[in-house]
Amino acid sequence: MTEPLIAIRDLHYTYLPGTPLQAVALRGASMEVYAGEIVGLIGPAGAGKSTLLQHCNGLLRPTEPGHVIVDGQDLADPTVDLRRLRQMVGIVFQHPERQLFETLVGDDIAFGPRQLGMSRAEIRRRVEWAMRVVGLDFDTFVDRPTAALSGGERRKVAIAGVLALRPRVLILDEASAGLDPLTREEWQEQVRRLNADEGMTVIVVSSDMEEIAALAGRVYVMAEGRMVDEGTPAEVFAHTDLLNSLGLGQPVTSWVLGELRRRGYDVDPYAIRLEETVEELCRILRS
Amino acid sequence: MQDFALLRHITIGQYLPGDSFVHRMDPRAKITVVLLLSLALTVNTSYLANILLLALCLGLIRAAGISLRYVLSGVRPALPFIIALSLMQLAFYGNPSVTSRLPVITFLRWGPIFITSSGLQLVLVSLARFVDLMILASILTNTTPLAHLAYGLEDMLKPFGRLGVPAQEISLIFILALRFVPILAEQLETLAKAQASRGADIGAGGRWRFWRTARAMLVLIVPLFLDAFRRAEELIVAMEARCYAGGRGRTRLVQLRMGWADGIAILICALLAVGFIWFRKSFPF
Amino acid sequence: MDDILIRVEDLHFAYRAGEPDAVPALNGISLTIRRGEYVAIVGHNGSGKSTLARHFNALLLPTRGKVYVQDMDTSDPRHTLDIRRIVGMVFQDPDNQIVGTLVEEDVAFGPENLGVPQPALAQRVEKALQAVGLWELRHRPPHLLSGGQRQRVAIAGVLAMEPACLVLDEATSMLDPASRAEVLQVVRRLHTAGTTIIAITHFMEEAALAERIIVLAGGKIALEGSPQEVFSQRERLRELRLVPPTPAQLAEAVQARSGVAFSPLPLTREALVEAVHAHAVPLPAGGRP
Repeated sequence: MTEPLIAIRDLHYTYLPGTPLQAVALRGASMEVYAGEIVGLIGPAGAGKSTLLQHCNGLLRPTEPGHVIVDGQDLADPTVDLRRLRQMVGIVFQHPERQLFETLVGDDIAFGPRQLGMSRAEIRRRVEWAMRVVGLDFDTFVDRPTAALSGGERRKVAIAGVLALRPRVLILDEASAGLDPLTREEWQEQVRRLNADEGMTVIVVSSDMEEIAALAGRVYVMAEGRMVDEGTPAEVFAHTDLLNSLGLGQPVTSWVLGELRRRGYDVDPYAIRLEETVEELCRILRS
Repeated sequence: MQDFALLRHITIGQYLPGDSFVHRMDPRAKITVVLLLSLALTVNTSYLANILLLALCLGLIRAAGISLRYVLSGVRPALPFIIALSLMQLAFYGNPSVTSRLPVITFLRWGPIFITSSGLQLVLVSLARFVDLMILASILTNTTPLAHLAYGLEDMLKPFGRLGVPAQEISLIFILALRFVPILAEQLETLAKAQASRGADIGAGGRWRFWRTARAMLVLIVPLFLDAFRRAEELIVAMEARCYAGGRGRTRLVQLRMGWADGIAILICALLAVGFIWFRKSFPF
Repeated sequence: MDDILIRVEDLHFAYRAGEPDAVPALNGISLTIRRGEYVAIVGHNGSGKSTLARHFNALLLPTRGKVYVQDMDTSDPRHTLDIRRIVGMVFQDPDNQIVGTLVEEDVAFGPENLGVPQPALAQRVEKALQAVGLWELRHRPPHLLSGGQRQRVAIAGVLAMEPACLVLDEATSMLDPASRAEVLQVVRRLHTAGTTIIAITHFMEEAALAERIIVLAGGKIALEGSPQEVFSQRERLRELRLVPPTPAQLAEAVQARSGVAFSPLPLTREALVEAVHAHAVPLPAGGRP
């Protein structure tokens, strides 16, 4: 691979420094994300995941030692074009449905492109595209009042609002929390398509290990403001002791394989995709 | 460029645990003291009285073990408005009707602009008062758990219950309002970040550019209010589920106790306040 | 029938009932919850499960039909407070249900409302906090606790009213896995001690812990039975926009492929390991080579 699209090197960050509420969030975190990847980021609450990712589009700026380099540009440089940066790196926060503010669905999704001063035709094209990606029918929904939508639909609108900027990097910060199982499966399929068909680079933060296992090609484990593990999902999720000590748990497949190995069965602990696990289990059964 | 973190800078209303004498005082005593001192503040317009009161407030801050920088950092977001207001007052409010024993000197009179020493005094005294009130409010809230403040208020209002003052409800409203301040501040920060990620002009301007800030605020205020209403609704349901049916017949876990030290503190402050009020016209400058 | 705690008879409910824009949410539900039972209610987003839960303690009243708690009609306002004391409820977002600014003060809120005098009040608070393992943290402000701890505070707040039944309305959906495990452990302990549990959830592995699962769809009961019965109907579940827990999916795939029959169908990860272990080729003495 060539240069990483996002490179974070030894980043430190402290909230409200010099006040009684001072809180150290990052203590030398490093991460690299290459174009076209889906990277998972896991860690217990308070590990600094959100703080780290908010550096990627300039919501937070490096103030202490450390570098954030996005597309070859060091964000410590005060002359960085924040608009361009935020168009390139989109973030979907937890409960995105709470950020809607326009009366009509179409207007809310069009907010970003309008801020960028695009032509009406281009805005319409982007809104149409973003709605199709999240699975909202354009003609049915574009003129609907946002207040009349269900929670799930509101969330789709909010995500479409970020997609309409056509970011090269999409950061999903606990964006799927609270979805029912089938909606979650559909959502994961959408993310996979965005990555495969549109070439969008994706960073997923989730406390749902099944989701990380299903989506990510590479996983970082974060604790107390720095990275403590990195690898493929199969590798990372095989590190039972580390995950347990952080209270993160494992996907069902990793857990089952690990538990069987602990009991002495010769199964491959890295066979964590459902079909692979089934195969491993069948192998040790009396036929 | 820490504009988002500014939203966390709400220094009034943040309880900072500690073990100073001020921390240990009964909340009712603290409320009484703060009321007495505020009264003394509002009636004194002379330089000397205000210098003395400012010194007293600074002394109290020391006694409470809170850093002055922390208290003042809460003023920072309001600074542009305070400065604008002060300048306007200075420029247009030169009318020498203010009680002062000093001779009035006119610095400038040009059209509507009228700057006098009396106007200057008004501005300086107002600023000192503002700082004093900030300090008093901070001392009260930084050293007392909010619920205890509310309970103190409730106990103090209880005698007025016969006049129809719903002491219980008032204290509950107070507790809930203050409990939601940090939650809503956090929500506001998240919203600001979410909208900025969508290209809104937040955190890219500066806090001196009022108009742009105000316009950008709209994309925050609408969802913030919707969120606050949603939370309020959920809270009401949760309270009902826990058998809340108004203040009547409720009991209370926390019982406040007034000690002799509280009495002495009230006595000293009462004497000081009465002194400042009584001699307000006798200060030489 | 003495051991019936909650009886729901042909319950219909519509939001803004009687108005032109009325939204029907429940369309004829009948069920009973026995004392000491552990029941899970599942269904896709918008299936009506939370609406149903809010009828169990008179937060919502039927548009048609009846709900009885210990034979008290929920639509009779004289019983409202008694019913809410008997059926306690924990909600999704801990931030929006904690009233007090300190843990012990929040836990006291319910019994304070019931007018419990001191020292019984303090005893109830202590007992409730001990039950969820948070007695040591009683002087902390709730917003400085973890999500799991906050949700345990909320549970303690309900326990302090000494209820017979605990309704968890998606109470674990905003928690991380460690916090969820923490809360579920408390719930299981309470159930063992005799509390009736009704858990509304969309985590199927969590529903599998219950003795009985009720599946809602379109405001009606679509499926009901033991976790084994419900989760073995994979096709029907998919129609209802649900998927069995991952261990059950794995078990079924293994059965189909190897010809081994697990009985009963393992639904949790622990059960799956046990089932595989029971049917595996015996290990050579001395364990793995």
